[in-house]
Amino acid sequence: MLCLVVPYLVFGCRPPKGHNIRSSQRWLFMAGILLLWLATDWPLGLLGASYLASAHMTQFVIYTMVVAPLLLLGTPEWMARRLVGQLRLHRLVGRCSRPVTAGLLFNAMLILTHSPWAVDNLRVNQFGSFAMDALWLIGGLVVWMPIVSPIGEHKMTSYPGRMAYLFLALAVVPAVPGGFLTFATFPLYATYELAPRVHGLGATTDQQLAGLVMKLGGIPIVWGTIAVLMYRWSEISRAENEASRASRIAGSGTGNQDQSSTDPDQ
Amino acid sequence: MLAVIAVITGCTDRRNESRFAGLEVDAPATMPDLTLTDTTGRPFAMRSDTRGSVRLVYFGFTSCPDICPVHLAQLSDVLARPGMPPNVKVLFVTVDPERDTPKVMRTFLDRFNSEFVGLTGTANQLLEAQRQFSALVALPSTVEGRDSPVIGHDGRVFAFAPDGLGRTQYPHPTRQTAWTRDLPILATLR
Repeated sequence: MLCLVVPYLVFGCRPPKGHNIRSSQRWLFMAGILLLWLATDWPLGLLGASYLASAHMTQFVIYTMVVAPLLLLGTPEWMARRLVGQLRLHRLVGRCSRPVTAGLLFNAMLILTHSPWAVDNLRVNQFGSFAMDALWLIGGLVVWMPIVSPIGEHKMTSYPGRMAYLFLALAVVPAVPGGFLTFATFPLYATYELAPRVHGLGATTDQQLAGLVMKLGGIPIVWGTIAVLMYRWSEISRAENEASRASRIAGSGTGNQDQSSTDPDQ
Repeated sequence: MLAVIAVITGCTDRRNESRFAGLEVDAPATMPDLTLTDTTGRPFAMRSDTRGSVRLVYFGFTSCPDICPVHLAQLSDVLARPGMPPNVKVLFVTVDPERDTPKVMRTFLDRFNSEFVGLTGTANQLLEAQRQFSALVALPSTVEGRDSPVIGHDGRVFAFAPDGLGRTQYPHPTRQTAWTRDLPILATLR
C-alpha cells in the first residue's frame, strides 16, 4: 500500500508548471487505497486467506473491479507519464494496454490465481498470499487501462469497442471459472475445505457462493460502466448530428445569401 | 521377456491398487465393544448398539479449535450428499470428560448433525477405550495465553465396516472426495 501512496504523495508535491492534482482525482485515489486496505486487512483478508472461498473471491472482485479503476481514475496524466517514464515502462505499459493483450493477460491471471494448485500453495503462506494480491491488483490495472488509463494514447477511442471489450474481458470469460465453482460437486480448494467452518457455512456452499460472487460481483460495475459509455456515446452522436444539421442549415443559409448576393435582382 | 514384463506390471498394479482412499489397515481387527454413556445419559455399547452400520469412531473434545470441528463438518457435509449409505454412525468419544458434559457434547454435535452420537465415561473408561482402539492416548497441555488446557489427541477417524472389522483410518486432513469414495464401499462389507 505504501508503494502506491508514497509515490503519489511525492509526485503530487512536485507537479509540473500548470498542472496539479484535481480534488476529484485525489478523492478517487484515496477511495481506492481505502478499499484496498479494507479488502486486505482483517477481517476480509484473514477470512479470504484461510477460511472462506467466498471471502477470497470478494477480495478478488474488490481488487480488480473497484480498486484498480479507482487508482487509475485518481492518477493525473502528468503523474502517470512521469512514473512510467522514470520506471522505463512506457513500451511495456503501451503493449499491455492494447485491448486484446490486456484482456488475455487479465483472464490468464484470473484462471491462474483461481486454480486449486495456486490457491492451495500460495494462500498458505504470507509471501504467496501477498504475491496473489499483487497479481490481482496488477491484473486489474492492466484490464482497466484501455478504458480509464490516465495516459490518453493507452485508451480505446471507439465507444462500441470499449463496450465490447468490457463485456468480453470482464463479463464473459470470468463467468466460466465462476460456473465451475458454482456447479462443482466437491470443494475444489483444500485450503477452504479443511479450514474450520465460519458460522457453520459448509465448504460446498461457500464455494458456490464464491462462484456467484465471481460471476455476479462484477456485473454492477461492468454493466454500470457500459451504461455510462452508452450514454456518452449517444450524447456525442447527438451532438455530432446536431452540429452537422446546424452546419447543413448554415450551409444552405449561406448558399441563399450567396445566391442573393449574386443575384442583384432579389 | 513377456513373463518379466507381466511380473513387473503385476507387481506395480498390486502395489498401486488400493480399495480405499483412506489408510487401509493391513490386518483389520474387530471393533471393541466398550460400553460408554451417551448424551442422554444412557449406556451405549459401541459395537452392539450400532450393528449393521459403518461406524466412524473419533476421539476428540468439544473445545478443540481445529481438527475436531473440521472432521465433524466434513462428515456432516459428506453424509448429506445424495448416494451416501444411510447406515453410517458417527461416534464422537470425548477425551475431556470434565468439561464435555453430555449437554455440552450434544450442543456441540448438533452444530454438525443431530444424528452424531456423543460418548463419555470416567477417565479410566475413556483411557481404556483409546487403548482398545489403538488410538494415541490424549494428553492435556497448557498453552500460554489460554485459560483452558489444550489436549493433544489422535486425529484419526477409525472406520469399521458393518462386519465389525476396522478396515480403514482417516487422518486429518481427509478431503470429502476420499470419504465419498470409501463410505459406500465400507457399507457393503457385511
